[in-house]
Amino acid sequence: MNIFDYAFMQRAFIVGIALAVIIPLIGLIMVLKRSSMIGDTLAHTSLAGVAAGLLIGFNPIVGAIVACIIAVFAIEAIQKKLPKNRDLGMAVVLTIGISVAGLLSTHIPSGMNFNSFLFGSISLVSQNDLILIVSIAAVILLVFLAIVKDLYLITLDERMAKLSGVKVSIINFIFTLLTAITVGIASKTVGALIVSSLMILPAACAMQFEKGFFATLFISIGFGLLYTIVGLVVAFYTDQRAGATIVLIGAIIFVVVVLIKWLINKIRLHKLGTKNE
Amino acid sequence: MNVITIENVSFSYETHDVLERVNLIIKKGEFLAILGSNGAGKTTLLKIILGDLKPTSGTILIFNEELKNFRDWTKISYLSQNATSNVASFPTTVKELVASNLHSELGLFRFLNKIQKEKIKKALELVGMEQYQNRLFSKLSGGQMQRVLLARSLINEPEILILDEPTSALDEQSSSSLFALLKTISKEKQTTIVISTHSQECSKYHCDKVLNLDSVTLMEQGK
Repeated sequence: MNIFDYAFMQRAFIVGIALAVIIPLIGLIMVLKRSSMIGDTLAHTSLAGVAAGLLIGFNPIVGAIVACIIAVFAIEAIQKKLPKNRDLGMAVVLTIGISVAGLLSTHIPSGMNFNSFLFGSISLVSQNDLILIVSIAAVILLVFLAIVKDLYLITLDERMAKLSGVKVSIINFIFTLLTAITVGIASKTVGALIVSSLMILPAACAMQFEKGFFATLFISIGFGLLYTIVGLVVAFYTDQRAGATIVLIGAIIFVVVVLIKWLINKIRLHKLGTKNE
Repeated sequence: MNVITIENVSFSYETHDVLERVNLIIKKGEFLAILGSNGAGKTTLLKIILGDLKPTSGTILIFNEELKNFRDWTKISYLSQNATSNVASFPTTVKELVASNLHSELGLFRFLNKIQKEKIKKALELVGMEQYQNRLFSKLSGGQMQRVLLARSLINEPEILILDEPTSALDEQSSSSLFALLKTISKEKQTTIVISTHSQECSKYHCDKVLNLDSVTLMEQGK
């Protein structure tokens, strides 16, 4: 049977592609803002929401989104109290999130597959999940496009952004919310423990091409799609977990891109040396 | 016309007095250099003019309006001391960077129209960088980076241009050419320029007024 003959694989591809578009957008800004740790913090905290959802009986994806949003507010509050140690806010929230998830998970009945949220599971994406994830992803994409010019300016030079009339704190807050919701909806397919890797790897690959900001955004989406499509196909035929396969393929592609770039630079330098002789 | 008026401005960081009773009037189209050793208060004074720091005492007027009431910040462009290093690791082309200062004019999805493209071209021509539009900013030399950042500051045709040690990372030749360019801009465009610098060359040959914060004296060149 063909891979697309399976309804669950069709759903997986649709959800995977939707996430592959939005995750790298968020990821590139996070990398440029040097705030990659927020992704990890929210991803771990999302597990507390997943556990609560499974335990109480509501959609764990909604639980993950709510937990991430609470985490964002908590990080903001701690950072306001401790402005000189901004990383502490994320570290504290990450610790609390993972502890709550650990405590709640012991009470979840074994048939409910809490573990599948750690590394993601495609077979668990239902029709309802698909509608929820794709709709939210579409909203995230639209909001991102609406604020991308502000984000560019803030990430480049926050002071200049303020002088240009950008509401820096509001835009930053919207972006953090987008990050929280993205992590929340990705927890089921990609897996909470590896979603932050999928945020960073496309950006890391795209930045090797040394293009402008908007070109880098498009290239990172391209890499996100490449990882996801190849990862899903490989995971299907080798019977592996999709999230982990996608991220591992992303890591392999990153290493290949870096090696090719290194090789090209070597050849270029060699040619330059030969010319000068 | 008085563009910036500083009257008896003092500033202290807790118990450390940085500025004491500074008085200064800067007129339209003038080129002022603020000199002083490290810690003399050059950046502090610029930050006070920009409203980032509140003076301990004294008054600042911008276009004869008290600083606290001044709202039209688009008339002022500022190039910070570490602007180059902030942007150097950022994946951006020269064109994107210069266009970023047209922020308020740009539409939702940031497509540039004909007029905006022309503005970018003119700003880059002014600093002699028009052929670098599509280059990656991080691939430029220090002097070229400063010129591009200057083009970005000039694209909105500001009435006041404030630069905090713009030549600190440049060699002598690049510094000299940047100062000459600033002098041309102040004369041709009637842009008021305020620059903090350690450069004696700038104060001797290029600017109209020098404020020395080590001795709190104001000298007018050629007078």
